[in-house]
Amino acid sequence: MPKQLQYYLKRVLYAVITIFLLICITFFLMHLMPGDPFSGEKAVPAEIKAALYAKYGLNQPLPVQFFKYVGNVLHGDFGVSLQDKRPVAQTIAEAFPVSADLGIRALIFATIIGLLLGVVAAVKRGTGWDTGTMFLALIGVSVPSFILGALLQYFLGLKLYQATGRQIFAVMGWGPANSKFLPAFALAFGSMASISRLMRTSMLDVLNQDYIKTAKAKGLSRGEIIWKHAVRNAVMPVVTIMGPLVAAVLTGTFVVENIFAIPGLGKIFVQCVQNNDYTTIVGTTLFYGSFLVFANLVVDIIYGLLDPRIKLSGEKE
Amino acid sequence: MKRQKKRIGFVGLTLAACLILTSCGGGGAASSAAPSSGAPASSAAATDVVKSDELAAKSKYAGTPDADMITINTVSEPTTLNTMLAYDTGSSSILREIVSGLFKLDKSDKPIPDLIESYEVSDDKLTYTFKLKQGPKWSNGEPVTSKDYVFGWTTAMKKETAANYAFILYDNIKGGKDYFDGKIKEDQLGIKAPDDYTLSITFVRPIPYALHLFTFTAYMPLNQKAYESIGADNYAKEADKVVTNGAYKVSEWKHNDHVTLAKNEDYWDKDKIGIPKIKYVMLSDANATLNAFKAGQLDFMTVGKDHIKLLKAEGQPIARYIETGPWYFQYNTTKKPFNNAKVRQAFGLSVDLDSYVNDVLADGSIKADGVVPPGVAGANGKDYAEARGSIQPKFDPAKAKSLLAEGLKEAGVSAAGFKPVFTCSNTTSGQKDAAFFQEQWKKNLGVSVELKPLDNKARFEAMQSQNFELLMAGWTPDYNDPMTFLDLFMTNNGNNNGKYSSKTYDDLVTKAMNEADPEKRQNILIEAEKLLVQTDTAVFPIYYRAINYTTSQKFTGGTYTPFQGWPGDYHDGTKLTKK
Repeated sequence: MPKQLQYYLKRVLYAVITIFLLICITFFLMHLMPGDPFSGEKAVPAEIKAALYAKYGLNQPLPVQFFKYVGNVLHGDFGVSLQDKRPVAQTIAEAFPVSADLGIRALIFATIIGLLLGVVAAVKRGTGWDTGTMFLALIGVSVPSFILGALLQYFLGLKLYQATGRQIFAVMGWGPANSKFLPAFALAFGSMASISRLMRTSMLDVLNQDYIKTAKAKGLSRGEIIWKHAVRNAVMPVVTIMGPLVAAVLTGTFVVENIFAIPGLGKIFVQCVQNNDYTTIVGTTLFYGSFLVFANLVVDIIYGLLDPRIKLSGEKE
Repeated sequence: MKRQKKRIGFVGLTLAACLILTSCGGGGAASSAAPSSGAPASSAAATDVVKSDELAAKSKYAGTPDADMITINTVSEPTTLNTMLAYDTGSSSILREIVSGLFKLDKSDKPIPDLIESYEVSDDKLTYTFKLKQGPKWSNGEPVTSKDYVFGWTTAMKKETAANYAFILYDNIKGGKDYFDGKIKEDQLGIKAPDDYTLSITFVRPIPYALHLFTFTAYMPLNQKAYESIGADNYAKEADKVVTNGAYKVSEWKHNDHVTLAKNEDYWDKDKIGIPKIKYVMLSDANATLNAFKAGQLDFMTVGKDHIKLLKAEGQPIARYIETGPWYFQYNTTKKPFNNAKVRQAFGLSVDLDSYVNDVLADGSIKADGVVPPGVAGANGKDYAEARGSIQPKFDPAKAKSLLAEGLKEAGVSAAGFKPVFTCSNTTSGQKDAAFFQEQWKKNLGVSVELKPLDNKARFEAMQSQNFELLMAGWTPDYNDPMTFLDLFMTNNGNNNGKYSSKTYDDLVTKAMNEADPEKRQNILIEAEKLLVQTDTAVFPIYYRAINYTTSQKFTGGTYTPFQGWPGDYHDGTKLTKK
């Protein structure tokens, strides 16, 4: 078997083990949380609680529940939410596309603007451009998305509406085109800042390399040097952090979706934990976990493809 | 047997004494916006609050742009639109618009006949027989018949349905508990449907608030054909999987995003529907809600304390209503030294409640007079709280200190090592409340109290398993009668979280339960409440919470009522304001 393929298979195996451990840990930890899915300020009469437990299989010993759950998951059955009693898989299928839509918008936004800012800052190093972009990046890294979201809602959602009388950006909801800009920007800002800082550092590093001097000596134009030689090499470290960035953007939706009332998976995830909705907690965790593990796997593979010089672990020649 | 025949129209007056509610359990739409500010507000309370009907005319905000639709924030996804399973305010406030039954509550929370022609009550007050209206139809075209009630009630009482509020049926209906336990068959129950438009129900005991029970979601009818063809697992989980008979139909339900209701053109009383469409959105963040309201994306919002000042400053009118539920200090009477009444009294008497209500809450909430709040029906159509007057012990630090010293001695706890734990909510406002009490106890009692902030589920768990010493708890009524508050402290009540146990108290409440004369019954209950609060101080009442709200210019006639929360267009006279 080719070494490359062997390596990929090994990575996939690790990924599967990671996901299994994730289910185990989540399953048993969530049952340690105080309260139960049906508890509230008013105690439900004991006989009704017993009926609820029986109906949703919570009356069986925990290990039995666990193996039953794993068995069901292998058959594609994620169970029924203990809160709204709808199939968890259906909820994920409805909510994830919304989060993905939001996340992809944010990522595109963050990547394009982030790379541009980074390149500009590096090329115009020491000028006002540099200071300005890096100041913006500093704000981006330090201001959490819920503050940024609230500010955007106030200034671009409310004040702009009051000034113009037109709803250019909606304060809440998800649907019409005017509702998608503010949450995507709030979500993108932090990642955009990380990308621009990283790109600047990497770009500066590349610009000092001998081959750039060679290119200059060959008489290539400044634009050609920057775009053909420098950016292509400088972008490598940025690709490496795309995995974690996807994770950051996805987990960032927990907050942004709540502020903007977006029916995405992040909102569901926060709610199900607050409600001790066991099936939804495991279901969404499993889904998120698999997604992140998969994203990291893909990044590893892309990394290998982009730069064939990188030796894979276990490769000898 | 001689039967009293009562014509509709006379009914309300005689039996309107007690109301049933639909606001179950904590955390509904009403409690959405409860943020807190940095500095205590001084005078946000009490003054310049307008009447609900004046909001639209005085409002500064135009509201949503849609011509025939209003948008209301219901904060979170309704857990169900199945009448049998509803237990949260979010679900019941939508259900009230889409499903009709025997009775409904009017604007002053009086039960008024809905889908019935007439009804009669047997002499022993146990059996109610209804003549149903013949016109009303389900949204699948079938007529609403007595079979639908029988089917709805019996299905809700089945164990496998596992309905949270099934007890409100089986505790009251004759044979109900046995039916729930599978011991008897449907035909042995106290529910009969001799023909399609006659229905009778027999209770296990006379229930003073029976008419109000008939307005409760669990007492609504259910169309058997629809329920069975859609299937129990899928029923009422999507807009096209619920069959309704109310003023509105569910026209769209995008989960976790919005529910839209549209006027039911086949409704028997459709001319009274003033608003063609209602959209419920689910926005939980208080600041975002305010911005959305001002930016014309909402027509109604509840207003938290910070926002009261903000809105008042710009002249936006605010209406207010006081919840029909008390908040009180709950003591764990099984733990030393809180098993001692003097210690319990000391902890209550040493807190300056005026300062708490005016400076800390500062939202129009009012100091408690007792456990049973104003607005709860008493004897002869009067308010129970009015008849009782204030039984609240007065703020008295000196007395508190000496009571504490005596109490600790009696309980055998040394004052030196005494460091009680106050379990509180981990929200900003919860911790702020706790910090105020902590400071008061330090200053007025010389006791250092440790705070233990917990999230909701953990706090309820701690409360229900007596894993606490001292906390602040609240209670929302299940029906409009003082009993819903007072039977709570009987020894064997499942919600008696402080485990207060007094034979005298139990005997008094039991006596009241069996007393047919309303005046006498009320006096016994007042005696019991005095024992509970003044003598034994099982709990120490603190305050009744205010809910502040405002609307856009778009519609008028809606109002908050103690037992219904916010009904969108459920009441006559709610209508769009045409420009």
